[in-house]
Amino acid sequence: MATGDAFDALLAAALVWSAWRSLSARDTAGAVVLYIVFGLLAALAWLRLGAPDVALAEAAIGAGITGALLLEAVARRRRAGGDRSLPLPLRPLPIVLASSLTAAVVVSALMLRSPDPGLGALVGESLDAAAASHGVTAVLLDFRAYDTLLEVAVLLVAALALLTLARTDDVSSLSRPLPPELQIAWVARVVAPVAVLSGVYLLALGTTAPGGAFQAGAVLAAAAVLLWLGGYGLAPLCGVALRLLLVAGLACFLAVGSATALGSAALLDYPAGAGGALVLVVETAIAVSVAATLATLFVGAGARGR
Amino acid sequence: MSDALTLALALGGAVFFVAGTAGLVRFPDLQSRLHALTKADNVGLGLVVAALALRAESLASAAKLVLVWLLALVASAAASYALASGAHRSEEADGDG
Repeated sequence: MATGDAFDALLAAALVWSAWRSLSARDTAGAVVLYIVFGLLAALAWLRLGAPDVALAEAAIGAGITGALLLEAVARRRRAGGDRSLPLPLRPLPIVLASSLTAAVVVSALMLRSPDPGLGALVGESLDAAAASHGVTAVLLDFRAYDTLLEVAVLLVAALALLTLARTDDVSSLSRPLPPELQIAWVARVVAPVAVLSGVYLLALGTTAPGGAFQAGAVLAAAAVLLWLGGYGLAPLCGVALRLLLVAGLACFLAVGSATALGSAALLDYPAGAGGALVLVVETAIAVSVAATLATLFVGAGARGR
Repeated sequence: MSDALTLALALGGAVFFVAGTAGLVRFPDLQSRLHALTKADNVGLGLVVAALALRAESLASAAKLVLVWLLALVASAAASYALASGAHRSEEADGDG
């Protein structure tokens, strides 16, 4: 057995084991921490499957931001008093749903006659005419730009939903920081600049290598959340400014789309020379919006009941 | 020669990780477990990073690996402080309540 195979087998076993331990943990905080471990192992699995962009997104969003949100939810629940479980007749429902979904996926995977080569070859052929030289970015922002436009709209809807549901009416919860703890404030001061630099680097790298807007947005959101946890409120970025940031991605994408539609009568059909620049502009706007959305999700969720 | 050095450093790192995990499993309370994790695991990570830096293709990649180690140090320091102070605060709350 090759070393790679042995590593893959160990990784698969570790994935199953951490998922089982997360589900069977005695307290919810432990379950969330094991979920974060599962997310990081899943990022490794994506790497082994040859998908570094997905691995970056899984690590940043799946393990990082989602883990932080879940820990925040656990802490809030403890403050509100006690765990509320599902009523007894409903308890089998999540297991039934999850098992049937897993069974459907496994059956359809087994029914594939031969490994489907997918569209990789087609993308490779068309890459010269694309606006970006990295396959994933070319697909996301050139060949299937319309789908990404709709995804960005969905993110905006999620942010709007949270803003309407949050008990605090004003979005300025971003500016009302926690009382600072020295060590956490020190960590925020040290790590936030590195995180911002990494985010901008991932954004710029996205056109030629694994990276891109969503991963950069997640890292920038992490920087914002760290600053908030360290007691440095983000006062300049509240009220109207926050709303502008949340809308920026969709607005920029729509503007580019309208310009191309008016120009060449095809939505998001970039003109020949300007494709790369337009993609970079749209990616920057998307990254800013994703960062604002994720930071609002975290801070807005935490601002309730403080 | 550098292969042997890489292997030795990586094995040394593995030994430290095993020691940290043994501490996690066997130590009696939260603070001593955090102590074992932060000290032993970070030294282990440093040795593994040193092993990988020897095999890096350029100085920039080696520098990025060292940056990863430094960030892990900062993160584990912050996390262990937060965990320990949180446990201390809830112990105080239980003691008063």
